[in-house]
Amino acid sequence: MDLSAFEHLRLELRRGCLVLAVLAELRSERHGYALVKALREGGLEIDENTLYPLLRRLETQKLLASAWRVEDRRNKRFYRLSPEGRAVLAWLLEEWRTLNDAIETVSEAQVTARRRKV
Amino acid sequence: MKRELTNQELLDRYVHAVRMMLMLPPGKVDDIAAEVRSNLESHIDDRATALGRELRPDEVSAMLKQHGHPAKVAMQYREQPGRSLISPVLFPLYWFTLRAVLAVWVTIRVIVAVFTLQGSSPAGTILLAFGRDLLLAAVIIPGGVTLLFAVWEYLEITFRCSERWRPEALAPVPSHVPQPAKPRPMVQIIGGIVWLVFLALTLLQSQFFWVWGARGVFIPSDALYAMRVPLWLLAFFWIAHSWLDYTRFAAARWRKILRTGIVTAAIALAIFLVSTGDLLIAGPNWNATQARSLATLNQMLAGVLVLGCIVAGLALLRTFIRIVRRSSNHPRTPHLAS
Repeated sequence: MDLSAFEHLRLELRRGCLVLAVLAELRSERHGYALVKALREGGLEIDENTLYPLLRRLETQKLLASAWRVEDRRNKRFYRLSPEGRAVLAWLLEEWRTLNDAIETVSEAQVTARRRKV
Repeated sequence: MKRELTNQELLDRYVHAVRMMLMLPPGKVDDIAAEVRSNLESHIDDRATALGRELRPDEVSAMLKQHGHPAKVAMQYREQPGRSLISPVLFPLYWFTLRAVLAVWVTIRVIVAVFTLQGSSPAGTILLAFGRDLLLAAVIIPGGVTLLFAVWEYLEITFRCSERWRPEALAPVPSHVPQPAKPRPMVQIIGGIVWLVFLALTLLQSQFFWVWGARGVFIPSDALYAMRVPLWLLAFFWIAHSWLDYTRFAAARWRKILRTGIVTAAIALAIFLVSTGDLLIAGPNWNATQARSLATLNQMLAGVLVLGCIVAGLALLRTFIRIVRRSSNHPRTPHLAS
């Protein structure tokens, strides 16, 4: 099996999922590092150098809002979902469930067909 | 013996290196640098809490190394990650070179077109040739520069640079990082280009030159005409300096050295020109009724030059006093950015 092809496809698959995960996590306000930890605890490893530019892009798209605040004597940037972001997240989650169901159905149908053949 | 860098110094150097490689407008650079710093500080705090003690400099260094080369961090803020023809380490230099070569080429071509328009060729033909050259340059210059950097990349020079880097070896943060207001360098660049075009129109023509009116009511004096190339070069260096100020590509120290050099040369040139007497003399189309306006114009020009010399001299003196004060207040203490 071509591992590099698999790696490329896996990265592509994860990239789309990451946006969804980030939006979902930011329903409650978090600063960047806390978000990395929350994603990691949820089983999603993310390179920080990918996450921060992604947060900026989502903010430019008005899906996130951010503000600098002091916490533990450190100046930190806190991100949260904007009202537009909330709406987009709801649509994306719906889309995600539809896709998930479709993939399940397709893969299940293939397994059943193979069993019938056997 | 070399002193070991503190945690704060390591962090400052790293953030400063990211800043220098971002090549974005100052406001964005400040914001991104603050975010990178905040993230790294959170990392350090988290590790320290887990260990129950402060981190040692070698641990902070390892953490920074793991975080990635500053050029790679900066690159993530510019483009989508992925394999590229020009690596993130080389990209800022590539981008700067490409823009610089294009800017120089366009400037020269515009000046050549302006000169040609003074000749006998039809304007339409000249403009068509200009447009054709512009289109060709838009393909050839980016192609040539990209090829050059791609070969460099292929030779794996950048690979070695990015693998062998050490946070301790990053450049120290300069003692004073000027924070110019964003519009100032842009105004300087536009002013410099206007000055360059004005000089090209009035002084660089070899056969016939004019200042006011159709073809030479007042023309430059011999001294002013003799100084045409230094004046043009000063304007050119001023644009280059303003561009560096805008992009903050070069270190603040080098920008300051360049600025000081330009201002000193401008003062010397202005003193020389004023000392030679009238800068404008009567041209071929001059008549006696314009004698008074010529005298007034020369007085105004001399006044502007003297005033400019005083202002520029005071600015130089202020820079010099600041340097002396800073070096006497902080003999060997490196500046720690907040």
